[in-house]
Amino acid sequence: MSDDLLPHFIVEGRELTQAAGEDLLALEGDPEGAGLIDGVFRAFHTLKGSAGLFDLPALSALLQDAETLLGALRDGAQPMSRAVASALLDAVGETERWLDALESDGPPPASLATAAAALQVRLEALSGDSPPAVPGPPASDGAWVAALLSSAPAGAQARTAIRYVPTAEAYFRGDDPIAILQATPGLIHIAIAPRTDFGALTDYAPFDCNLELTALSTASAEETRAALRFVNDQVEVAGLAARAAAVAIEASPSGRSLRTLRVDAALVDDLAALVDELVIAKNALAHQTGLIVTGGEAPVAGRGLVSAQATLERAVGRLHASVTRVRMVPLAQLFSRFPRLVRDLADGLGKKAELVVSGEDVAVDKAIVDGLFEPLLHLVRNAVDHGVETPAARQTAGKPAAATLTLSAHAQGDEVLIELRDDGAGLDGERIREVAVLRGVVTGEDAERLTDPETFELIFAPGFSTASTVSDVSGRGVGMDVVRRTVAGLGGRVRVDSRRGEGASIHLALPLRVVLARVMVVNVGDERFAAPLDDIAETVRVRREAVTGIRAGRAFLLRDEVVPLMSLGELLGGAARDGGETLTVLVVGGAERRVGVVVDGLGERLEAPLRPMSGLLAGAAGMRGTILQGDGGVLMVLDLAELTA
Amino acid sequence: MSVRLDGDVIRLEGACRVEEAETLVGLLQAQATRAVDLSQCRHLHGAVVQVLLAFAPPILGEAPEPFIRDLLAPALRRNVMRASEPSSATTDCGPFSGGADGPPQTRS
Repeated sequence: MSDDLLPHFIVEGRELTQAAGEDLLALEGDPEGAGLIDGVFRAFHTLKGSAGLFDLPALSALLQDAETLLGALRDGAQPMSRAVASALLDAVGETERWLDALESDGPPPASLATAAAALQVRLEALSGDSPPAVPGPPASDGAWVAALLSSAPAGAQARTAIRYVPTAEAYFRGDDPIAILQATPGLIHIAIAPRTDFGALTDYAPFDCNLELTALSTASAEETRAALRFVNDQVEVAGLAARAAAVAIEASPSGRSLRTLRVDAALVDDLAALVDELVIAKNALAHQTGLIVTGGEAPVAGRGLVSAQATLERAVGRLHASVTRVRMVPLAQLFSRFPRLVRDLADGLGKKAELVVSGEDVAVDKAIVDGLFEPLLHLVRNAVDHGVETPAARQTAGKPAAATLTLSAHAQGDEVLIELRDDGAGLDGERIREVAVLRGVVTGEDAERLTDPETFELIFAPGFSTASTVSDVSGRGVGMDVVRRTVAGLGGRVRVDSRRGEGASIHLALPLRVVLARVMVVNVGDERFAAPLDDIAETVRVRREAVTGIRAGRAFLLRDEVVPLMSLGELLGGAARDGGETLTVLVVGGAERRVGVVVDGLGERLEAPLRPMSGLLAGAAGMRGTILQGDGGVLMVLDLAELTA
Repeated sequence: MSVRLDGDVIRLEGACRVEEAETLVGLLQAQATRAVDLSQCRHLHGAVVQVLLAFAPPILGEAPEPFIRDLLAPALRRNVMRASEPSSATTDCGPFSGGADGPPQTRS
């Protein structure tokens, strides 16, 4: 149905939930906060209207209830309280889970609908009574469609009939039903009637909305619903085309999750201008080649070509820089989700904690921002769950009852350094050593010799957990090892620091920009390597008899050109083992110096962040770096140019 | 700009906003025979339209705005016709179920 609108809903939805969450937190601290309640109300109202487009009845009902409660708050019928704030924040969180589910492209899991229904009960209880009978225009049997069509001029080419019955408070709420109707596309006929009889005109109430607007439109039902989404609960839209149009909505078939990016319009303008420059450069090139073909003077044509090429190079370089800039988003998108989370987590654990965020302006590659949420979430949970003490314990230790967590970022060179610090109890080195020995991560003897920093490293070992009880907050001991692996997958590092009694800090270092390596997996014997696609001119199969020995080496004929042949196994210091009747050959190098490299097999193509070689391997010849595969395995990325030099 | 009384005619000019419904009601309640002129009107708020619907004054003039001229004003005039005639009066169009001139059903 509205598949093309879904990505917009997800982007818009995230912005709205984020704004609503921030406003709610602020509102809790300052119940009189000017404009805050209106902001939250608007956010929920818009969310509800948009959700109505996507056949998500459970979500729509939840948002409706949240909006009702907010309405009561705004009108002063209901005071702001912690319970109200919590319920509304939960509604925000629940909505975010729906957005996540929608983004991952499958049908929303049933558990979401159950959770939404449970939350609805809470919201309704807080609203004081069952929600007012706002929802929906009175169910109609479609008689209005017939009446509408009969009043329309003959021959009207309508595809959609609209019935819009605004609520009695529409004018007070600032809605103008006529303007809303006018904004729907393709209107060709309107009929206006009162919703209920006006009664005696001497008592006419000018600001009670009493309208039933019906209209015919040449737009599709989807377009019409989209235009009316802010008042979707007051609108009925009927398609006039054959009813077969109302087939069930099938889930979008692609398994890929939607990735969207909001971009500053100025950047897009820049890109458009650069593309224009490219077109001009291309035209100049065409002119120069034309000169050469028609046999113009070679030096003249050559100079023109050089200048055209220089223009092209400049434009391409700037285009590349601009596109890179488009991918950079501020960390605020990531960080702003955490203050609310800390509050909820601490609440659930009977603790008090506040998160202070700084450095959220640092712009980082979108892939990093997206990939960092899960690990940061885990770290924040750990800090609140394991790091922060109970208010009583904190007071005994002479600290304020409420813990302060700080999440900060700053750019340093090509990296962004992110630090999550808490003022809790800090890591217990003794306890970590005990558990590590108990779990067989280290032997008792080794544990004795470990320094504190070395001990803290143990928490990143797979399956390690110091929590003596399994709480529903940080779950079981899956955690720090996954965090380290995820961060490594993004090309970054994690380190932990701690002072007993003063708190712990986790340091993340990540690249600001991601260098994505596009590689092809190649096999040599039982080993797998990654060959950069940029290095490979083509892959060919060569029959064994087409290979000829030339002095010590071998060569084969590729389109009338003799190309030397090497074996990747040999280049890597192993044996040349090319069995079989045909050889699989990667052709590498530029036109002037082609080389064929024999491999045993070709695998899948991958795109992953390239991590430079570090530590002992830093000097390894013939290797560009490593990439991490989805399953956690590491692939060495070959430097084919160096290997074949 | 707004609601202005000009002799027996109430002129709605410019964009008529929600608060102008009250003024209009006052003028129509004072004298029910007044007509309303839309020839300078650019937008009518729902509340103002609703007053025209309830009091059904004669609608004069062609609004410059196509939405009002072609869609809103005709709807209001049909309403005036209905209001000024016995309730049995219906529109002059053929019935919906009618013949070849009925609304075409487009294929999906």
